[in-house]
Amino acid sequence: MKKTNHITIPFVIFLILSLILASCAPATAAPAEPAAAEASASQPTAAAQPAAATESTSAEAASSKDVITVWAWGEAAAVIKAIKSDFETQNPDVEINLVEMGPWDLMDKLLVALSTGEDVPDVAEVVRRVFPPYAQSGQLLDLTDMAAAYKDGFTTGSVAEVSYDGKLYAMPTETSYSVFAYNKEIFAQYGIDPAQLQTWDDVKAAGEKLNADGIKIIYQIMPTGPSGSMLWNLFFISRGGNIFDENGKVIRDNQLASDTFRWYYDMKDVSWLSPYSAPTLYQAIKDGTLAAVATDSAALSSIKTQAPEMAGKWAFIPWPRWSQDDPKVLGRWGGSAFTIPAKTKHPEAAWKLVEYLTVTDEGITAMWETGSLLTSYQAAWDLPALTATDPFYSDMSFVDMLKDYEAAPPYYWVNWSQTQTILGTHIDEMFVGASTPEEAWAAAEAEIIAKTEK
Amino acid sequence: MKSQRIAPHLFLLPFFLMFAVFWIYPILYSFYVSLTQWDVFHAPQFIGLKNYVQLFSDPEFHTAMANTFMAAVVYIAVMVSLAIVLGLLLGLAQIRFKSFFRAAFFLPVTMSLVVVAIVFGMIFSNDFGLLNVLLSGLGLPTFNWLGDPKLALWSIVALRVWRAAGYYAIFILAGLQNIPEELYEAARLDGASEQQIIRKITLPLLKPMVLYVIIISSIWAFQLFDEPWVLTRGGPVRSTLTMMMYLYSYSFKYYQFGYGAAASTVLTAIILLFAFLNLKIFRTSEI
Repeated sequence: MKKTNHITIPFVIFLILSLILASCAPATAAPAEPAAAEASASQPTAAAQPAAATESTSAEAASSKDVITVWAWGEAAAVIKAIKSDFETQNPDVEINLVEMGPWDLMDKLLVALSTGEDVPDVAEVVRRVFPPYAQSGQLLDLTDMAAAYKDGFTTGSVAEVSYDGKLYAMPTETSYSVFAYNKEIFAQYGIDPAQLQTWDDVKAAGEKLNADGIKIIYQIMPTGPSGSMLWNLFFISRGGNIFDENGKVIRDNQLASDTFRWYYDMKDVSWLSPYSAPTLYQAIKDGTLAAVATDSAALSSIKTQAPEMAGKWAFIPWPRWSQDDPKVLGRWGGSAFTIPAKTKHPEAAWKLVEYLTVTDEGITAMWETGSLLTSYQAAWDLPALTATDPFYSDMSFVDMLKDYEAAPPYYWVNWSQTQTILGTHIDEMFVGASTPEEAWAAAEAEIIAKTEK
Repeated sequence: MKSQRIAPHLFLLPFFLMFAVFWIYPILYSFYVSLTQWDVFHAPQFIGLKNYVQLFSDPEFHTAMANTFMAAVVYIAVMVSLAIVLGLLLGLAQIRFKSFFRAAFFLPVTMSLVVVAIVFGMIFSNDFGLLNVLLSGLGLPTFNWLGDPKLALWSIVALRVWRAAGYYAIFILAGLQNIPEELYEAARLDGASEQQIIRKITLPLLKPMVLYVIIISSIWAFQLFDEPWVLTRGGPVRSTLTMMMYLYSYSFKYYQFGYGAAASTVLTAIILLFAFLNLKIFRTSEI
């Protein structure tokens, strides 16, 4: 019996240490973030990547083409598949080897690839709001000179989000702007004139009218989490807000943020509370429990896909203002970009693809038509494909509507992963009644200062 | 003679070399990393025990630890009890279609965790969720299963129990099948009731298998990650934040690998302690 224990104890130690600590070793992949939360892209297996690389190498040798490995997710990956043939025809010396994975899985893998120098892709799509540490890594190609001709054509802030120390380390791809879309039939039934929804006070008053019958006018994400805090932030940005200043320091006693916490909380009674990306959200849209959404423009595409029977029944209005005197400013959820690791063996071929996707008419059109991704290259917003009306949304053009807006002030995404998690926690706190919105913001601000040391 | 003494060691050497390179080295390196400040792109800077000091003074870490511990203890207690009951039921001679039930019990663990979490997200949904529809159909009050900080963790534990109980019931069944039939026959001849047989023969002889199930399931219980990550992202109000989520976030989301490694070391110590306590209790007590 004693002997058995002597065997069991080391076995248990071995098992525990193996399972837990080994997972923290630097070269070991972290638990994969489920892609289902933010992307529908299929996940490659870890083993698939070396296999793909081997195939690429042999194909490269055989055809003397530059085979570029591209990491991308969801919609952008679909766009790359769609343009692959045309791009390779235009560039016969380049072949695209697309590797799809979820956005956060991709960011984790890119982090490991850049830090170890192993299995580095030639081009990678990146999430802009968490890009700063990557830009500062010294492991990415400086695109400043190559992109010089295009730099001024991008939307305000998008270039700054992918720059560090005056150098450009990625090309902004798309930006998700705020949109207020609504169900025309429900609004008509309740006598709500969408043209009169000029401010958020108007929206709340209309929401109260609907609420009497249990119909909600917007949705809010609960549990808030990182995605829910992005939704709050979308409203905050449209108000000209910032949590950090241009020097990366937390703005102290941020009254605007506190007020926006209060406003977000007050909307709770007329909102449909749902976990992020829950399938039930589309059920609420279909059965009329949810009469409108105020969120980012990616939702326009999701509603079309998830609730196709609503075609022609929905429309959108300009994003409401915070008061009648305020300028018309849009919120932003974030956006993506394409970067080129410095270790790529094919910098020219990689740049050709990035340039094609981000600033050429063909690439931008494919981004919009295939992926509903609105280019960050504002100079191209007049392209016919972008200004075309959409029958699903009552023959309206979202891009045309955007042209009436002033550019929002630059937004400083500092330590954003941590900041958005903290925001989510304190928004939840006020939602469950553990604190007032003012207390919740004060606690959030204090925690952001303490945790980020900014 | 000397070469005969060396030969077994040489045969074992490849394993120990591999073990040292691929297991021991990463573990030791991970501990070293926990003593540094490291953003992964630049060289780690040695800072001694600062990460540990910071860790134990962080209320978020205390919350993660408490959530993990509560979820693990309840999960292990409920899941193991249920697995024993299911295992005993499967072992009953009167039960028909045993193969079907074995396969059915095993099925949840074969399903993708993400898919399971999404399906349970729909079951737990506040407005259209199956659970609330059933409750309201019965005239009972409904609950915000994932949105209420008092319920969210237990909803996730329920999901985990559903997923694992059948799997471990198969282990229990295997343990039952190893108990010699003669013991039961002898007990019956001596006039023992079915309850007495279970209490005096089945459960004591199942002890090694139950211990195995507890240790294995507790390792995974303390590593609770996927379900809360998909369903709640640690919310609401950090009520489902676990230590694994905490260390993953600090390492891969906030680029504080040294700090994440320190959290990982603490988690390991807790699991070791838990495992040793289990060994100690099971060694000295009867079920």
